[in-house]
Amino acid sequence: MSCAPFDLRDYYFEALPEEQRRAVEEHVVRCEECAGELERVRVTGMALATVPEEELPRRIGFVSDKVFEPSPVARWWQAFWMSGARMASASVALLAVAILVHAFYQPRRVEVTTGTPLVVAAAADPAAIQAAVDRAVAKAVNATEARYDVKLQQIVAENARQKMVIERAAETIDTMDRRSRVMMVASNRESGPVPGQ
Amino acid sequence: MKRILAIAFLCGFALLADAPRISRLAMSQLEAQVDKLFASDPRLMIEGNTRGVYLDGYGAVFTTMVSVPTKVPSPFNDFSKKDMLEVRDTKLKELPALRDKMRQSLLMMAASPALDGVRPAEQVVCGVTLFYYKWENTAGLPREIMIQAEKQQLISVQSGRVPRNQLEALLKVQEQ
Repeated sequence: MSCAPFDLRDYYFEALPEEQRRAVEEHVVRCEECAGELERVRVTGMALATVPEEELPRRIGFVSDKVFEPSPVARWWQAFWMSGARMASASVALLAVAILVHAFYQPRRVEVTTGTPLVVAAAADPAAIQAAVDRAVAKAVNATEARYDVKLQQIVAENARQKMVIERAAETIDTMDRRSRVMMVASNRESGPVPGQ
Repeated sequence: MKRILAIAFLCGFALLADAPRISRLAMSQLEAQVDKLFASDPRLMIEGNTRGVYLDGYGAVFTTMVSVPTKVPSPFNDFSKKDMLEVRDTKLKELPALRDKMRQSLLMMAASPALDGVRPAEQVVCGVTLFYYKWENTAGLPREIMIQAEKQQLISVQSGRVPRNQLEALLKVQEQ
């Protein structure tokens, strides 16, 4: 317990007016005990100054809050995963269900159509089948050739058109060339031939 | 000496005998005038320069090649049959102008001093070859037009002794 006229911590944190500060200082010079107390306060203050400042949490939660309490389903699920016996039982049950399903489930069968004329004919007469195949091949070849002929005719027609366009352009260029020579001759007649021509 | 004089006399006589009645220079000047006459008409285009020749005993013959300017096809401008018919119609429409120019050229040539060497009874001929593109429809269009008349008759018309409206009767026109 300090005998100083004012609180030494207020003095240390400079919370006292000037007169009270002077009174404390005079007392500390005379009182050895208060001087030691003031020295401890100083050491404590310096120690506090070295601690980094941290922001206070906005909300303080307690373990007893309902927020931290798991739901009954979560507790059961957690207990299930933690229990080896329960896991084994569940696995066996799942396997049994799979075996039962596999035993009683039948996939839909692919129905194979039978009795088409071609198959009957094939079974009956290979020559007729061969003839039918030949006819089908000939028909397909004819269709392909017809398409090819149409395409070929289109290409030939386009080629002829392009050729005609080029020939006309060439003829036009020839005409322009001739006209330029006519103009050159006319110019020469007017002013005499150009040197080098 | 007599021999030398005789040889010199014969050579001079031979040179005089071979001298053309119309000089090449005079002919080329007249060719240029004919070119100008045709070129002065925007409905006509000269495709070959006029060439003139004097045929002794027949007369002076001038030939040229002209066309009627029309639109032409190009790789960027496709040409339809309708366009070709339009080209043909344009050329048919301009043919009278070409014939008129040929008549004018005949009168000009006959009156030109360049043809003073042509005898009055000899012919002055103007022949025109019309240029056509290969793609053209030339039905009803002539390839060549030739108009000719005696020089003295042309001079009579040019001088006014014969009325201008009788010129057509004096001309011989051939078209093919």
